[in-house]
Amino acid sequence: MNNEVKYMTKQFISVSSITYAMKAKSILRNYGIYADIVKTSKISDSKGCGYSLVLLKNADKAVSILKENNINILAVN
Amino acid sequence: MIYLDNAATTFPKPRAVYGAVNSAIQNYGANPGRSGHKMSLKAAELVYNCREAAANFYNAPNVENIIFTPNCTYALNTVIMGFLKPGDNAVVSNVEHNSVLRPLEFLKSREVSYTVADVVHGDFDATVDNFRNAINQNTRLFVITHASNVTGTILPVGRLTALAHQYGIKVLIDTAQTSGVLPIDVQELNVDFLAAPGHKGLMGPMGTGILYIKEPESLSPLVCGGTGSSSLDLKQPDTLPDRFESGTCNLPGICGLKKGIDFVNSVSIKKIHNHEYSLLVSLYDKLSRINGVVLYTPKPSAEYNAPLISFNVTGKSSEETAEILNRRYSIAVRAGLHCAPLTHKMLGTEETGAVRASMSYFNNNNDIAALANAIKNISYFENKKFK
Repeated sequence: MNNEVKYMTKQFISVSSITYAMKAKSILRNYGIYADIVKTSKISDSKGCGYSLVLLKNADKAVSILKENNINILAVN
Repeated sequence: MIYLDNAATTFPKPRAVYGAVNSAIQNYGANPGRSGHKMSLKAAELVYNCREAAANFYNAPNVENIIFTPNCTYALNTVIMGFLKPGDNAVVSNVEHNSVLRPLEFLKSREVSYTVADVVHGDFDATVDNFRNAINQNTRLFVITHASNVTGTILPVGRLTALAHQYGIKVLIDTAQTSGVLPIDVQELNVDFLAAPGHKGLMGPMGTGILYIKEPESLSPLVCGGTGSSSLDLKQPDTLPDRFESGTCNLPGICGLKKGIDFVNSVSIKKIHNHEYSLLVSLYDKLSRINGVVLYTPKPSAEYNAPLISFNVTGKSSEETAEILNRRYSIAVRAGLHCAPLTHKMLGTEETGAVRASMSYFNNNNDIAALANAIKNISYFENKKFK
């Protein structure tokens, strides 16, 4: 049950490539937001292949920061 | 061996470079940017770290403006072949390498023309005037080496870029002989494209190169293929760096390049340049005192010379001199035409070539003295032969 709750609270921010995922991770770290990088699980979110940032909290803030830094976000789940 | 062929590729490399290459192969040998497992993500992180280091090194506005290529030639070709369209004209200097001249010559079959502007050593005004006079209504690109790979002559790339932009012309600079030796700030110079080898002044392994692209919109990719992104879309991605980085990258090379850039930063460009320039001045001074030595590099000044020098021993072809240096003195230099035919035509050395000695941070005054003494002996015996 606990694991399921934890899983449900994860949020994914899909970006176009590994470079932008790395860049986004680095930008967020400067704002004190820590994210991991995973392959985007929903093929449709990335037009085929791509990477996402996974966060347990602060996803809205993270999206806002990334947009301000011209990171193209493909999807937020 | 005394290695003075650093304009071809630097040797030795900093120790950390060897370690990084080895570690990448042994510990992180997964494909970066393709999979989601730990090793692939770690490999991708290492590539990103190098991209970030290169972006900082050249003061690129964004990390994705840095493209990894297999070498400087590939970077130059990406721009020349991808930018120029039928009817376009490019202006180049008369000290360009074949990595610039051959693609332009190839493009003649696609109705692309090019015009050659003469470089005047030690006179930036005259060089800029020659470029201005070479512009025509179809000129869309300047391709300019930052320094000649034969004479070391430095070109005023900042001024030439300002000139080009007055006419809406884009600028590609070839930093094969200057990256890691002279300070280069792409935003200050305002260049549109920069090509660099990773394995020369940046001290990385062979098989590495860098292309800086300010705005990708005007450039078609040289190679299309898998990028690990947007795979359902058959169109090549528009985003950097993927648009210009199809296929698996050279992870071990890139990891080594990162350590090379770190090394250059840790020593500092200023210290590296001062050291290499002092060796150049010393070698010029010694060679200029030897009877029978013809120097093709004008007396050095820090403003006008990169740290390399070309010369011949009267009565010997450059290849003969280099062969004696190698066999009898264990000194490595580069003879011949250095893939720069127009430069040698300018120097009048198309038939003989020239001997080129090029320094790195790892050379010292003993190396310079050994080369000068060897040349003195070779010249002495050659002169004696004719008496």
